[in-house]
Amino acid sequence: MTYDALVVGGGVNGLTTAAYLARAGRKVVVAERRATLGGLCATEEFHSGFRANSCIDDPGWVPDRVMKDLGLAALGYAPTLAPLSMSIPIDGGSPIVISPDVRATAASLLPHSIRDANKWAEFCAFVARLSGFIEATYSVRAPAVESSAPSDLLSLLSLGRKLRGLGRRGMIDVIRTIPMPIADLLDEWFEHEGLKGALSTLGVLNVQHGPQSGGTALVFLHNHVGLPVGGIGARRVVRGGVGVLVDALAQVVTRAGGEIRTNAEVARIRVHEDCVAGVVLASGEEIDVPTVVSSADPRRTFSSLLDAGDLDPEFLHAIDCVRMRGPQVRVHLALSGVPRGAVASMVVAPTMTYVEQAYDAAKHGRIAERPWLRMSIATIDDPPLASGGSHVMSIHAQYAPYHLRDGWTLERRVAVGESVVAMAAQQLPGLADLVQHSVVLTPPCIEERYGATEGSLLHGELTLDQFLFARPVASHSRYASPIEGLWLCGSGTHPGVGTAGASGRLAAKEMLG
Amino acid sequence: MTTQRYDAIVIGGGHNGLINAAYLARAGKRVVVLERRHLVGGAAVTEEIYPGFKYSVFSYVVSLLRPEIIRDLDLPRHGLEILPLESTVTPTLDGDYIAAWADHDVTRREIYRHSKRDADAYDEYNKLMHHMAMAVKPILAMVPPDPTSLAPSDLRGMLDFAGIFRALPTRQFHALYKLMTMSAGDYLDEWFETDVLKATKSASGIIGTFMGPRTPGSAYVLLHHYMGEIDGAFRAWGFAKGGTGAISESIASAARELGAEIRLNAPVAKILVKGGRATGVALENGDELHAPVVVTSLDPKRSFLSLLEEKELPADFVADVRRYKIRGSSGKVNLSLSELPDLTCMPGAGPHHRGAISISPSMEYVETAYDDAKYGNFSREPYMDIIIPSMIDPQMAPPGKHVMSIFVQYAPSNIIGGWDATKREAFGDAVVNAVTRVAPNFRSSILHRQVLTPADIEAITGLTEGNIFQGELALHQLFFLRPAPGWAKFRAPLKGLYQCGSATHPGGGIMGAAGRLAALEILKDVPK
Amino acid sequence: MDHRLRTTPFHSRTAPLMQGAAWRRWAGYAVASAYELSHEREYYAIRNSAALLDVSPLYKYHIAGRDAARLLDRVITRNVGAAKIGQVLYTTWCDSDGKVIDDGTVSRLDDQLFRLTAADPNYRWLGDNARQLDVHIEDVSEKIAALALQGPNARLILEQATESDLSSLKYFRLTRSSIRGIPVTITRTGYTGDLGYEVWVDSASAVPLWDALVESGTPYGITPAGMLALDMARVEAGLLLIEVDYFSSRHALIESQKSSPFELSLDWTVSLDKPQFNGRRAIKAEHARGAAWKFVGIEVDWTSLQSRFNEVGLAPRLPTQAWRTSVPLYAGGTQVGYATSGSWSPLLKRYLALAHVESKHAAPGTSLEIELTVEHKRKRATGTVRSLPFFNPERKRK
Repeated sequence: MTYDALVVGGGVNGLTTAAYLARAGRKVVVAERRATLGGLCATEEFHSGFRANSCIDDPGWVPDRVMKDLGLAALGYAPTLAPLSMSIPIDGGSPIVISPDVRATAASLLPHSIRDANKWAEFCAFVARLSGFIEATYSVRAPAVESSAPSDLLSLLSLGRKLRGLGRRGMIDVIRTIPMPIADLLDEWFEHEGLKGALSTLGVLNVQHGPQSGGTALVFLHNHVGLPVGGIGARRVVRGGVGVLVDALAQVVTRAGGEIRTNAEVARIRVHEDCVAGVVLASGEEIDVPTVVSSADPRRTFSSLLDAGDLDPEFLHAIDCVRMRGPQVRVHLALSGVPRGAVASMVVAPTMTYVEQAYDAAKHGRIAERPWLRMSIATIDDPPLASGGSHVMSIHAQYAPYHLRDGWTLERRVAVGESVVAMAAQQLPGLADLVQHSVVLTPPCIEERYGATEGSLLHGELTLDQFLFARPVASHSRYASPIEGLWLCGSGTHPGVGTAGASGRLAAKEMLG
Repeated sequence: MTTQRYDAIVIGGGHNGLINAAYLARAGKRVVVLERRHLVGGAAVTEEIYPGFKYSVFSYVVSLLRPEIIRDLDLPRHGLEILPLESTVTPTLDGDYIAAWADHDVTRREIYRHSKRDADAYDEYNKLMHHMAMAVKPILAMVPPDPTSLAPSDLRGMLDFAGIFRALPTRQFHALYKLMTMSAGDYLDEWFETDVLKATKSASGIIGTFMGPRTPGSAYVLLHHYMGEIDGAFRAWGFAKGGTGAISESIASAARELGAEIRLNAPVAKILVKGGRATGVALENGDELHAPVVVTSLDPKRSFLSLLEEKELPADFVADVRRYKIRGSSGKVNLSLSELPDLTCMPGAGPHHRGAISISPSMEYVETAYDDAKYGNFSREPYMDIIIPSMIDPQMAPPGKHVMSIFVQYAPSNIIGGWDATKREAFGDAVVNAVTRVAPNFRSSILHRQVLTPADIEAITGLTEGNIFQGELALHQLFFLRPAPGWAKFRAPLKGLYQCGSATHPGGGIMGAAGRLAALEILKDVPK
Repeated sequence: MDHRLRTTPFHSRTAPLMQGAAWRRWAGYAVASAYELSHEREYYAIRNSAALLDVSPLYKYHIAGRDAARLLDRVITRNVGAAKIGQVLYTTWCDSDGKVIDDGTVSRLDDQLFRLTAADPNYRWLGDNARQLDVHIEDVSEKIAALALQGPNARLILEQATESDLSSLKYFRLTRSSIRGIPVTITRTGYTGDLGYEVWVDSASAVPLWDALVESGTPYGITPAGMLALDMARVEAGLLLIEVDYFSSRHALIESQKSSPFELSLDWTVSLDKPQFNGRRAIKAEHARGAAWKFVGIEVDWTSLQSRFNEVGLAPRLPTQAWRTSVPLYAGGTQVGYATSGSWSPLLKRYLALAHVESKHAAPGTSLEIELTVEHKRKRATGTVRSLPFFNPERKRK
């Protein structure tokens, strides 16, 4: 069997690239290391009869182009926005309920702060305007700021025009907001501590930064790309779990003649004379192929799949410097019922100071004693994920850093799981009695199981210095690598995670020329 | 009440106000500088608080002062003399130290002692920072264009601005981009492995800001401090003979010679507005001074929120000024000493007494100091930059005795419950304790102690929140966003009113660029 | 903290010889420019008897382990894998753009043990290249002292001292030996282009080694020599000096200050057929299109030089030392290059220079003009491109 291209990793971006290549007539094979496809976007059974979205609750924004090009809707991928974005418990008061319904959210804010309630609609419009601009940058390859090639200048100019389209104030808002700490931004808008605390988590989601860190406003905006006005913290729900997207993509690949192999871990990419020659699988099998596309993160791709001698030390140093730093713990609970008072999505982050203090722990290499939590009960919106009226709860807790001062041990993993569940139980009394089984995924677990370096769900922290033309590294931000025939297509490239398939599509586009 | 007329009135006799006035006077304008205190300088003053002991009360070292200003105003003739500050020694927690000396070979040997890799990296790092500073330097001399404007001058300005980056070799452009966006800690992690080396370097990324070494954006401040230049040598720090006040005095002398009038003890109560333009100022004593040009060197909160009435300014501008972050983060302790501090790690008198002593023994130490401040407390174990001016200029203290200047961070202006005398002394004690830990004879050598909290700095100099940069050097408060979008070109939303303080581009430190650029802009607007 | 300049392990022997306090800095160490008030005798020792030079300040690294050869093959431009035990290679090493970082020698001490000498620190660079490799890098710069014994009598002296036959030790080969019981490594290498050896020794044994060599060498005219004499000799030998004849790409401030191995006329040190080494891609591309510059010898035409001086009523003035400044070279009125070092050769009786010249003007025999200053005025004298080295005695290799 001879192939034109081999895709390393069968996650969303790997499959998207494979789909585009296959549809362009290339003979493609996808090599997935695990027995199941999906990578970080998998929905898997973690306990008999219980399925959970293993790492992420929301597949993220699938660009319209990808939906249309690949006909994903027809293949069963039809996400809807959950009626409830997040519920924010307030000590001694009614929870603040944020939903895509702007008016209803404002009404929910009213008992807590008239000022904030009045500003909500304006804030929603502000976020939509700014993330709309970011979305525009995500639809094209990263601009090459320092290049003078006419095509690059044109694309810069077109971005400039889009920016100008926002009007004077809008332009200032974009330029000024992106580098800001989310705490400063929220302080400018709101006064209610509970609201600001919960919203600030959207600025630090999956990054090892606190609300007072510069650039977290960008993360906040990034997390709203593709969402409609009012969709603050909104969740896309897919019947059957996030894995449905993966199934749909896999179908596109196979229907277009692509081949998908699971349990096929690529151990090494062979290089000859600065060009890709093929890959060696962990089984020892060798596949000769002139093009390899890696959806693995940049550190994994360059530092472990290649011989260091094939790359410049300067380039490898830059790759080493890509900050990964998974800061989260994920706990899946098999529940016999819904805890009293529980809703589909709750955020426990009482104040921005609370979130900041949780971050301080991570900064100093410790697990936060009081992490912020996002608790999701996927079965409320999608009951079939658990059999027989049971429920599944997934808790995202931050911060539990990959780089722990004293290192991760089994005991620490168990302890962090227990403390997260105990914290959840404080919000939801009676939770403990409903738990039938639990699974704790620490950053090292994510790294081991899914191959994501340092357990980063982002394949590289989303920060200003690892954004756009600097993602994953400034010298190679357009999917090509220093080795001819080797490409990147994963979340570690522009625009990256949270934008399902956007990197995959742009990489394929770049390869097909 | 008397009324007088001038071509221009400059509010505030700090270095930027004086430089602005000197340039205006040089162009033949009749200028008056109004200084609230009994001496010029603002935060750049030398005062003999205790007989025989001269303190550079606030700002204490210089390197950023623009060479073109020194040349244009012929400051050496007016008494400016900058003496080199050659070394930095950082005692470590285990009784050792790390040091950088004037001589490259000696420094290399010292770093090599800690890490062979870092000794090699050190040279490459310095070379890169030199490039970065070279690249950014033209920006210091630019009037920030308005990116939202389509006016030819602004478009040209944006092209010039972009051109600075585009002219860089790709690798340097990327390095600069990183420097603009990363935390000092992360940036230094890419270069070095020796923790105390990173801690000491990162400390220059946090000076004057409300950021920790791990806060993104702090790497830029590293660069800001690399842009210093003395006699063409980058990054050299110096100490003005006679203390920092001597710099202000030399500028004042130049300004007077050029015909500017400088009035001391002349606090301004308000800026006079008539028919939508600034027409002069009223002093606290009731005197009114009139001029078609009023220049404020004060920070924007003071200029626009207290010397003017809100209704006189556009609402969105007022909102921008309100949300402009100032946040004082540092304090200052000045001491008279009976003897030199005897460092445990480097006993006896030595060349280290002629340089800086940095209390930044580890990244964790500096970051923890920041954590305290983040939640409204002064650092129990603060980062400190210590120099002994009397070792550089013996006239600063009586023979055999010494003065010591300690820059201390963090001391948040918004300390919980506000600053008071008890907190001030507790803060002073924390500083003395921290120094005594590395120099046991220190406590008993203290003859006099002056502790300045951000509240004291504000009360004496008028700097809002005691912030030494008149507003944080954060990415969203730089260049065309400094101090407010649309008003970064030294003008204000009132005709005839101009800004020339550190709150305008390119920001703080004794740089003087803002004062000069503002004067050049004013001269474009007024008839010859 | 001692702020004084460091001294080499031979200092207790070299210091008493110093007559004019003519110390200079080399890599943080004090070394002699010349021991006597004039360096003339030291220069002639190199060419007529034997000069003894303290070259301890060189940076030295031991690279050991299973992948030692692989590491070096990633770093340097020559083929280390093909080197035999006992072989020494002169080589350059480059950055990823194919620009020279440094030059030095690699000695294969054993199958899995190499010594790299370098002009600049390279510890971090070696480490950065050692990823995934089973290799140990040790900076032995301080641990190992080195003496260069250079000149026609060098072999005789060493044979006396080692009591062994060195005639079988070929050019750029090494042998382990002992001198008065002191274990040493002797390489037949040097920086003079003459018959010569370098003796590598544990720093603790440096002084007895010096004494032994001086004692054995005295009957053969051994003469301690400093850097001034060496500088003249290395110009005659056409050997380039970092930061003088080229800038390390690591220190260069702008691109045009950097040089590729081809631009330094070190083509012979580049093994293009190696599958991996830093800068390979750029070097291959440059090889294909041809280097823009060459590094050549320039011989200043005596008659032309003389007439420039005679024109103002002076006899020709020659530099008493080798110079290290940049001097423009012209062809038909346009500048086509620049000389970076030069010296009067008392031996060859020619005025020599080392120069960067645009490739099309680099063929031996090409006539160029070199700038010179005569009585405060800039003039030009004729110079001819020569192939290097200028001086290449048979004894060097025999």
